[in-house]
Amino acid sequence: MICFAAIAALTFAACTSLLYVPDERDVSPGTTLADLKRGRELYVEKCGSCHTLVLPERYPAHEWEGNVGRMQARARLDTLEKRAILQYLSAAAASRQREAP
Amino acid sequence: MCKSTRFACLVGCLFCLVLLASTARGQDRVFTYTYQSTVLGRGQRELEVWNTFRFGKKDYFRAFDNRIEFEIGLTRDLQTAFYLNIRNWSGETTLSQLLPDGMGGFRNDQISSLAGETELSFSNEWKLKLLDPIANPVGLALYGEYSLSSTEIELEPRLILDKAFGQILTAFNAAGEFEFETEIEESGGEHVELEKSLELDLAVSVNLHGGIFLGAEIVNRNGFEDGTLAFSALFAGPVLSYATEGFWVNLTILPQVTALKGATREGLDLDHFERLETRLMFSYVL
Repeated sequence: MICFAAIAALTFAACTSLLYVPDERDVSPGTTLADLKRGRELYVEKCGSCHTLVLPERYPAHEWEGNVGRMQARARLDTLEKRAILQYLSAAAASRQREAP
Repeated sequence: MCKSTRFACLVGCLFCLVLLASTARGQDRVFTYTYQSTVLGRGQRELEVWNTFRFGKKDYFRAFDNRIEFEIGLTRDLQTAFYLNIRNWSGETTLSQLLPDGMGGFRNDQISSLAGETELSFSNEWKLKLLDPIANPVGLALYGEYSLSSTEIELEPRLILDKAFGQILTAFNAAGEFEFETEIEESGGEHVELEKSLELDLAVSVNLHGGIFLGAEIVNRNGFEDGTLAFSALFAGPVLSYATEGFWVNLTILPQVTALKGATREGLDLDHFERLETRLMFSYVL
């Protein structure tokens, strides 16, 4: 029993967050770092409350537009919240692509 | 190294080696015995139906446990649920019967007979999500449930950990169970018996395609008497999950693999547990 629990605990202890955290390199005209961090918070809060989060690099920016648009009503997003989430997802997806080998 | 330790170490290595970087698909629940940290959003509602079939003790035994659950999200991180539980079992029992012995006296014969019972109960659960399995290093939730029936009060606190690694979801639970059961004494009085147990659950599932997940669940059940571990058994088996918009269904087949303490037959504990159980759950979004 102790071995079972210890293996599980050690496995989980080795984890890190996979959800991209924006930094200064992601800032673009019309978007601040604070906007992107807010977008990440909203993504976790609004989308993560309903389903397991999809990593931003899963889709390109134009597909995220459609995905978030379809979920807007169910997630009860207003226009500003939707925009903030899309800004974050686009920046995160682009950043991951830059980092990819 | 004993068989159970080898098995546990193999499972541990499997978990530690699985760290992929591809993306995950959202789905609320992919296991049946192991809970995940996700909660319903504020105002979201689901109706879940649980069906558990258990059989195979040292004598004839069959049991059906059914639960109907209405679940509702209260805030971003808190949900509650209400259950109607129906438990039915049938098993072989031995009766003593006095019969004439042919010599003017009587003999005490042991006769096998089928006995059974159906029990109704009510449960209420509360689940608080503290950390997200993707946004944070690990998902974490606290869970508490109480159940009431005509003869028993049950309390179940549970610690939930989970993590998503791309297409792979893993979860670990530690659940305590405290049963306060009313017993009638031979003298006609009554007293309350406290039974304590601990269950550890470990599960992993892989997203095969779209809403289809395939994985495994491992359950370790432990019973305590007078503050010490009295019996323990390990169960393990596959879990299949399918989800679509507004509906999901999960099936786990869970045979008892080995008794860790208190084996009675073939290395299994068939006094306290069954040889096999299977659980089918499905849910509709309301």
